[in-house]
Amino acid sequence: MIVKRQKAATPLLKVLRVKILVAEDDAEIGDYIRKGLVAEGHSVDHLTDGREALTQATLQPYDLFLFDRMLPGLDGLSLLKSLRAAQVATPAILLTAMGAVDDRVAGLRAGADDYMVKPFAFVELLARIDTIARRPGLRAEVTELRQGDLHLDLLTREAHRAGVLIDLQPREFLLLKHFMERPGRVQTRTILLEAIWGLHFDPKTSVVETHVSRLRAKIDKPFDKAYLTTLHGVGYVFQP
Amino acid sequence: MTAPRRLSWSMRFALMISGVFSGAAVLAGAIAYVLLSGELSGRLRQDVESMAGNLAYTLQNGGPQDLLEQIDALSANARDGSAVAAYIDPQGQHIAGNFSPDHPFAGHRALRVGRDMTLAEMPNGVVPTDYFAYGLQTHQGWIITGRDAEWVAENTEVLLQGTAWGLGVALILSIALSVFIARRNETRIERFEGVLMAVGAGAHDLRVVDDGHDDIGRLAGRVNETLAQLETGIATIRQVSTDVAHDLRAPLARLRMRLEPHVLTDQTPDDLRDDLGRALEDLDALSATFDAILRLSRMQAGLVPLQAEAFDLATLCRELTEMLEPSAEDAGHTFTTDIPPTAIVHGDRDLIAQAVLNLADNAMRHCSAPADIQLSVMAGSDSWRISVTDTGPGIPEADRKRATERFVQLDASRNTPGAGLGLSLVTEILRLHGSELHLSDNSPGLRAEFELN
Repeated sequence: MIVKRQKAATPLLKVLRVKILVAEDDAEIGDYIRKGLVAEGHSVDHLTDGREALTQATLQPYDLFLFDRMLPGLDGLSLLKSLRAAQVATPAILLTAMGAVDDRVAGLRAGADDYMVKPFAFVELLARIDTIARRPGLRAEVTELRQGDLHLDLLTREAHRAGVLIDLQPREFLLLKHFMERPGRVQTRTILLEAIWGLHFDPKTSVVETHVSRLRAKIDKPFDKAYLTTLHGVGYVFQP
Repeated sequence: MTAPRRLSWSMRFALMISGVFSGAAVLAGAIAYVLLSGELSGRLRQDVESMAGNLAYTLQNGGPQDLLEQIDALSANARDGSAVAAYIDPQGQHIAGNFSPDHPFAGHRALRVGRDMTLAEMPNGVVPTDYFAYGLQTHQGWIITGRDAEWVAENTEVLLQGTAWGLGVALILSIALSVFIARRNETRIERFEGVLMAVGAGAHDLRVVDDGHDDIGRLAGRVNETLAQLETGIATIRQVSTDVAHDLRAPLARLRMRLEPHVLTDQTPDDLRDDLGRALEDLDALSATFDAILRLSRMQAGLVPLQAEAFDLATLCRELTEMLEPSAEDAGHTFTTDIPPTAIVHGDRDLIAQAVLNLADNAMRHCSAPADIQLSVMAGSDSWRISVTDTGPGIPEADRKRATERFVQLDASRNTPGAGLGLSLVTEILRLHGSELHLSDNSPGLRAEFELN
């Protein structure tokens, strides 16, 4: 889901169209997910039963699995284990309405690549799909990022806007890099905590807010156009 | 953290019983000694009195010649000096006998050889030194008899030795027996301890193995019944928390999915978009609080497995500082640290990070700016001590224990956000690590600290 539907895209932004198998027994949630993903250009098969999903996953090749943990027939964890045992290496994201952080470990052990607790922001699901879908790739040759008049040198870790050098703290650099690699893509607090600080739990502190506002003060405040926008209840987006 | 190990109750009881037993034995011995020596002395006194009476009768009815013969016979019989007799005429002249008192006297008296009396030559050389003596005055003179007093001492000595031996053996046996029983009880109680600790750490199916047909055995049965109830209770909590979580999260997820697209599209009017965004924030706060409660319940029920490993606490604290410093600065606080180069500990890195973050967050939340907040890691004897101190209002001593309980928000902080779960989560995390949270006065402010090894 791209805010303002910017079509201009750098090669990094180019979202791969992926074929996704969704196994979610809650019809309404499954439908929302399917619609959202289809709107993003992905193709989606949605099933509500674990056993059917197992059959389907072995019959056809998919780029990504999206499994709910509680499914009739066969629960998500067992479903994933069975697939992994059958040498199906397709990346998988587990959705759960059960536990929280504690179950993450069990999910990852069963072969999941990522784990999301309901209720989650749909943009977060998109961000995670972005990460998984372009996992092998592209990035190696990139040494600089350029969006509008903002320029970030990945080697010297220096940022310039309209020719003015901007002094960045290490985390601010990582944060800006993360945003500039994903222009137009909403980044949730949870995603940033994981990507920038490696935290898989909510630290309750305003660490994200503080750093984003500091970064904004450096790259946006002295200039006319603001790149970083806050979307209440959703997250932040870098809008070139 | 752990008090120095004291002797177990059983061991102390065993030693106490042995102590009481030996005390009672010594007392009994002393009483027997006093009674026996009193009894023997009494008999000896009666004896010398009747000896003197016999001799006086002979003097009265047979005359001095008969008396002298009888005294000679007595002396001849008691060549070891065990019995002595003397006849002294009214002028005080020693007439006959195998001893001679320095002064004639009437009645009972204790005599010592050399001091009060002179003893005739004794053929077998061994000479008594102390006598019980009795003097009888008649109109024909004094008759004085005596008996060796050492006999009493010898007899009581035999008694004392006998008692000492008997008691010594009994005492050693009683100590050995009570120490054996105490050790046995200790072992059984340690087994209880081990099982209860393991159950507390999450091994809910463990039971105490003890088939003794005594009080401890019965206790084991009771404990096992309770553990079984606990296990059922925990299974219920697991099931209920899963069900409730599902029932609550599914509608929240649907709600979020319905609202979110409208926040993301330009077609929604800006003010409505803002309102919807804030509704989503509230929804996230709601589910975060719910997560925290659920997580705490699951931790307390022992359902959260510890991902323990060795990690560098110093590195972790530096990373956390890097996160916390800007927030503290923006809130107007000063954030300082005192962290050694390395501090390797064993534990769940994520959980410990959460505990430290919670403590720091608590400090920032409850202090009005500007406050000094410090995160320190200090070396203890065989552990590391992590402390978060602030210069804020602190917590009155009476409320400190309550502050770590679930949902408790002390009055002073009711207007700040947070469901009062922070400190109880820290407490629970530390309990899983076999540690505990200490809250104390930082004068001014609060000092929260715990140890890890």
